[in-house]
Amino acid sequence: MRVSKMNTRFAVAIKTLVLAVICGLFGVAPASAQEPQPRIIPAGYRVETIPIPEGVQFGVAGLDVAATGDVYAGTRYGEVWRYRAGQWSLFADGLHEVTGVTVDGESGGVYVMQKPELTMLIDEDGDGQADEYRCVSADFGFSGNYHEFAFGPVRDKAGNLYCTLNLSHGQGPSIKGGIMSVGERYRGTCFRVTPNGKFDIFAWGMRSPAGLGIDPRTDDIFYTDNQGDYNASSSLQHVVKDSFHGHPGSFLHKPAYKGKDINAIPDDEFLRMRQPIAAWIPHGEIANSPGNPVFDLTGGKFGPFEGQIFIGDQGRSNVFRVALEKVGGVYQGCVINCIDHLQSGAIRLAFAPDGSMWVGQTSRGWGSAGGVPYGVQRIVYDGKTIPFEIHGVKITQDGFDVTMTRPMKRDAIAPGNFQVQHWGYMYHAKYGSPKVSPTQVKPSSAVVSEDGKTVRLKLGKLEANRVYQLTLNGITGEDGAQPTTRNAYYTVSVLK
Amino acid sequence: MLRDRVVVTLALCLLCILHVPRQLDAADAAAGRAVFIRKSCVACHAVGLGRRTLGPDLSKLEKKLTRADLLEALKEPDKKIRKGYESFVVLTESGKVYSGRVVAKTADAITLITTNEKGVREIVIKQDDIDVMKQSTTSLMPRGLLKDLSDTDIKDLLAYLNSLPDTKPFPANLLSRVAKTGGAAVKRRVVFEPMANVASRTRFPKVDAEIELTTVPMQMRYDNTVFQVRPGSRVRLTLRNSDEMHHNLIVCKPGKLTWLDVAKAAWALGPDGPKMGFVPDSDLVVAATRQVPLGQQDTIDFAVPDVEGSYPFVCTLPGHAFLMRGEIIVSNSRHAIEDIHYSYYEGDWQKLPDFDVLKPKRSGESKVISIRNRDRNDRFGFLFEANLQTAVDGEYTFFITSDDGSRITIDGKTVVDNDGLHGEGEPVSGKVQLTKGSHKLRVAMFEFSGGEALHAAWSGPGLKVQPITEGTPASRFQQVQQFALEVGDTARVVRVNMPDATSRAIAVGLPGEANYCFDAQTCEVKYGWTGAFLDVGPDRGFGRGRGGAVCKVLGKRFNVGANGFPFRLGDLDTPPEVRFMGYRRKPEGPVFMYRAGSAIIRQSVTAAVTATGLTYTFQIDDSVQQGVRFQLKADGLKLSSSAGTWDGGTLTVPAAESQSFTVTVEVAQ
Repeated sequence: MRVSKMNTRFAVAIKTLVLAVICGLFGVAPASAQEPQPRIIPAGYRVETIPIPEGVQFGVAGLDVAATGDVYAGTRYGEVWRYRAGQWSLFADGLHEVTGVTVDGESGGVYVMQKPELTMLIDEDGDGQADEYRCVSADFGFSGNYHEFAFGPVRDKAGNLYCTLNLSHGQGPSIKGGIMSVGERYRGTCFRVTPNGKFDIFAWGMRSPAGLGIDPRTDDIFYTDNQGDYNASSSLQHVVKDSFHGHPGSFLHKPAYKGKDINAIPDDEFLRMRQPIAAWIPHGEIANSPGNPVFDLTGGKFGPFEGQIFIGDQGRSNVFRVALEKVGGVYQGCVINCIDHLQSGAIRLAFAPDGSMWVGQTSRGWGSAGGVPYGVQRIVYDGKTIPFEIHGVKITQDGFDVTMTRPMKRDAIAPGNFQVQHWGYMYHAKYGSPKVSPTQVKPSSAVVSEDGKTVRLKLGKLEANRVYQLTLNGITGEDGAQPTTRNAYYTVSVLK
Repeated sequence: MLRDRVVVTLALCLLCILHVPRQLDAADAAAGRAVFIRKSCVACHAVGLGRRTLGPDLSKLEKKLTRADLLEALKEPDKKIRKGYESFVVLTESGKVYSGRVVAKTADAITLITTNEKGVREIVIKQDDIDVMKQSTTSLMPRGLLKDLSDTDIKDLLAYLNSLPDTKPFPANLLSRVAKTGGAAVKRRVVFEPMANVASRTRFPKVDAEIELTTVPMQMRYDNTVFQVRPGSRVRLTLRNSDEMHHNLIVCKPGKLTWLDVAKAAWALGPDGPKMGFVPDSDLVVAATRQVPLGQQDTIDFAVPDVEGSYPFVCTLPGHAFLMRGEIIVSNSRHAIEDIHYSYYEGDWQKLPDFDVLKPKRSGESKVISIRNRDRNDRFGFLFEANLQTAVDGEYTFFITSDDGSRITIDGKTVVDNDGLHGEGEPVSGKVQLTKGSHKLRVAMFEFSGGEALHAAWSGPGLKVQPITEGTPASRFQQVQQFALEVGDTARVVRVNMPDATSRAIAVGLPGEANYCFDAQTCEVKYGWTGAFLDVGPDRGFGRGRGGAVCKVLGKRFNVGANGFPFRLGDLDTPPEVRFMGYRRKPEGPVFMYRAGSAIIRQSVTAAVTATGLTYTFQIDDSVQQGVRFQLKADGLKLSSSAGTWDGGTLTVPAAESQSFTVTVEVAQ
């Protein structure tokens, strides 16, 4: 090859410029302290974008952090990547759309939920690549339909594994003309696999249960469902043995319904069986397609929300909080937006041992407000700033206690600074639901607690099966700080 | 767009490297004149040279431009486009695209000023040869001209422009100098040096079509991948290489995988490959360029055959073929959507209704497919029917995204189903085989409440992604990712939706082009195939959609006699209960493990040695030492084993030998 002066210059130009141009055009910048932050983020929190392997379609739909700090990210193209010491390496590949990753604390194996199978990946020789792809369970039906996602697993203290199964879209019969179809057996359920491999159905009635979580303190299982038929809005629900969660589709494969015409059973009958909703997640206002609930048990390393649930959302690309309480033995509580507008669809959250929160992201197929097709971000708390935010809401006999993270400026507090609106939802085979009879209520009093953090709002008689939206106007911290979000949505499933 | 910007930037950089020295201390206008040259303004504004070029001669304007006018023109060239200097894009029947300024127009032909690697030139295009001619809303003048100029540069430039026409004109040879060094900025193209010994090439005195491709730096692809020419055309093809690796281009005879056969033949040349430019001696080769190094170009003239079809082209340097290829469509017909008829409905639907049984509120002919013509923003629907013309037989892809549901059907068959209540998400797509000619296209959509949208597009052989709906940018639907998986030195194991297997299938590509499909539901090898591995795009939504469709086996399938779980143990007449247990990854291929009754069976698979087929190695771990029976459908197969005796498709292995044995299944010659 003849190398002329021109060619050498040209090569140098290409090398330097292509890099510069690509960086310029795609906005790829090295991670720095100045990287763009979300539109809503409480004081003291920072979002870091984790660089992802070049040239890899890194649509994360499964993510977990091991006790060692190693992060495992499962992608929709069937790869599992391990992040250690700032480097990604390929741990496993060729899986069928990974939508759940859970590191097994005991064995060090990595559970992955792929569409056809719950699988454990075992790296026997410790070279950083899985050698054995062990089938843990394939006892559920899977037709190949795109919508037949499977999620989980979560593991309880006894070693049982729990997973959820999406309904199908276009495969098999649908219920009362609804959009989702039932597909093969056990779609729309939560199944359990015992430590000796026994498979059973733990709960019924799910539609698109994209997020599954477990409270490690109590073994309480929670899942999120996505708005759609028999789901007026997205929701967080408590899963117990044989609970029913709203969509009757899975009953087609429930022995008790064998031979019965599900379509002929009135919806009211299903509604009476439905597990009380722990928290409605108002569509459009908080989230449209929530992922897995994680429990902040970081002991304050992630800020002042210890014990609360964090959930990411795929469509809106945000992270919101849920503060639950038990009323009459039933979990219910409020949802509060937290960090809004991450770079991409925030479907997976996991806390790392250092108390930071990892966010696995994908937009493919449904789009996301974030706009970036996929990625990984990390949310870090500075360990000291107490942001002025709504901490949580608790129900009283005639109203709500609204608690802030730190004392409020007392002279600004009056009943008129709290707007309250409540509504119900319809239960039907149609997609979603409008708000039913939205009603404004004026608090008759607003009394501040001694520590200045809680306001007791008196509303009079509350109604069950309603969502109460509490909006703060002009409430500030003692230093004048404004909360980043002024709304809390409390679901009253049972009255106090 | 992106490519244009990259190329412009590259070109500007070249200019900077080779720039005319600045006259820092000279008077303002003189320094501005240097800027005028350095930024290649002179290539299009030939001040005082008295020749027609892309932009007006600024020294001969009837009215002097004010400083504000000049600044605006420099900053926002698209805002005011001078009459007579509008930009037109012309697509010719032979598939060539020109853009430039129309300087003459008669009933027979137009004269266009355009640019190529030799600089500005005038070309005459016959009216008969024009397929589409469109006026562009953007100016021919590049945007962002001031971006990398300092304030002093800009002041100098304005001072110079303001001094026109009083300054001296440019010397006559300046233009060619600019074209030679960096007129690239205007041409939006880097100058490539022709390869040596061009004289040895055959040249037609006149060609019917010109095909030009440039490799994309560091991306292993050509910038253009689809061309269309008429049968028997004399074609001039130019390959420019802007990548650091060498590349070539070989046009192959029609056929689904002729490109792969040619590429493989090229790789098989071994050490002779580079010497022969990786052009194999094969009947499948229609034409070939040489191996082109960085910054050079090769031009070949050849005649395409008289036979209509899709002629693949490919770079045959080792390993490039899977990414670097395209096709030349040889056809007399063209692609089009014509005779659009719309029906507008109103109603309260949550999924697409059967519009055929509903009465439209309004219907009629329409020039475009668009939902603009609606009476309200919620609770309405549209049905568009049109005649879809295809130029060649082949696989066509249709894309749609909408708010809420929509569907595309062709000749009554649903091609893309995007029904249901949803926002405007990523496009979903569907593929269909269409014959050349006329087809009935139906696009249906409905809107329930909230936002509303409809965007659709199609692509096919000889047709880059083309919007079907009005106001839809094609870029929305273009696929940039490759989904053909390759097998390297170690085996590849992929779980995706496979044809002719349950949805728990596992595709395995072994090194050396033997592949097979193992079904983890039934625990048997379903079939094998030779050649390339797998296109997983359908299951992965081609990177954009939701996916879930059946993947495409890329090579040639062969039968292995699959007939359900093949083993019988102990009780030789009853199929045992089978349970898949997983697999172990090894470089040479996975070892599958499954339980059958009381036995645990491990199975590995290799390519058969003597003929097309597979060899299975079984290890059976059973607490009960028992004989096994292994059974296949023997038709058309040659069966052999390391133990036991065959009776037709049934192998009986006595207990003493059943712990470990092999079975070879070959296609009978």
